[in-house]
Amino acid sequence: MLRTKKGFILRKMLNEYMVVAVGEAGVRFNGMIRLNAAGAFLWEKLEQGATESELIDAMLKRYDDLDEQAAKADLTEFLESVRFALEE
Amino acid sequence: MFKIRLANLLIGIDNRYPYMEKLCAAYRCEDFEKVAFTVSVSEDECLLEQKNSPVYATISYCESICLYRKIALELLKYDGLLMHAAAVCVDDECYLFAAKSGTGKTTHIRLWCDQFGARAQVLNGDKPILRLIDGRFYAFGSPFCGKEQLGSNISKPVKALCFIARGRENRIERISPSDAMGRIFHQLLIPRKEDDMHIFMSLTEQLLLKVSCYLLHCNMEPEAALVAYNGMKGQ
Repeated sequence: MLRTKKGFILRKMLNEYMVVAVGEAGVRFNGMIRLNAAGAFLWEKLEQGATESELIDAMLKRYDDLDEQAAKADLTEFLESVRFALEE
Repeated sequence: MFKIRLANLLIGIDNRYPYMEKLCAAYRCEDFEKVAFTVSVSEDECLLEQKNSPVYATISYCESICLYRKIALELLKYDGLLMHAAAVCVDDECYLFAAKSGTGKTTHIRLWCDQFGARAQVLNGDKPILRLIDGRFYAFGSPFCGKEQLGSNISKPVKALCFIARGRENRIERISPSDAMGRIFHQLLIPRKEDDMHIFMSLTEQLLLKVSCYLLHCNMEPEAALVAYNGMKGQ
């Protein structure tokens, strides 16, 4: 199960999504991660906790023109970019 | 314990070491009105700051850094932000220059002073306070103004925010709020408490929407100041 770490929160600024760190997480991470709408969609699932296959299902349901292989590749890339904000 | 008037607010400072008091001399205020807030730091916080300092720093100096950080975080409740920038005023409007340390912010505002003479005044060479008041952002001088100690105890409306990159030629371009957003975070003191973070994010958003942002590629020649000014002064 993949889940976001405590202290990383999703915020919207100028119609863009970003993840910032508060509390203890903020001591180690001093900055922000910008996400697109698809990234924010996945992040919200990760806040609740989700497996990779659940995330892929959610992506396929949301984006009609996406095939499974592309979804997997996109997800891998996304997870890599937010890895440090996910629970071990 | 003493009081200063900073960013148009009366602030109490409960210091342990004398350095802070000396540093704030031009901002001291003996008014009897109620202070907006009082800041103090523990001995442990001073020691931690000293331990984390990349170069040797006296405990007295470290206390002043901790105190300023606390002031800046309290200022969020008054729509105030601490920005790492060099602020120079021409004709009663303030131009902010932001860049990584060592890019030449100070050199650039010195070029403005040479170019504009008595029309120009450095508001703060390193860490001005910005406050949103009645829908407009104002820059305020502060005792913390960098190692060159360039600054004055004044406030002016913010005209523009300019990010500096070194270049062979001098040229300036307007950038979108979204482009500026990617650059501004490194220049702001980011709070850690969740409540403060919400205020901070909406205040930063306001700043990006209300203040015109630019990207200046410049060298150290006098022409750089003119190119920057002409690009930002507007009508």
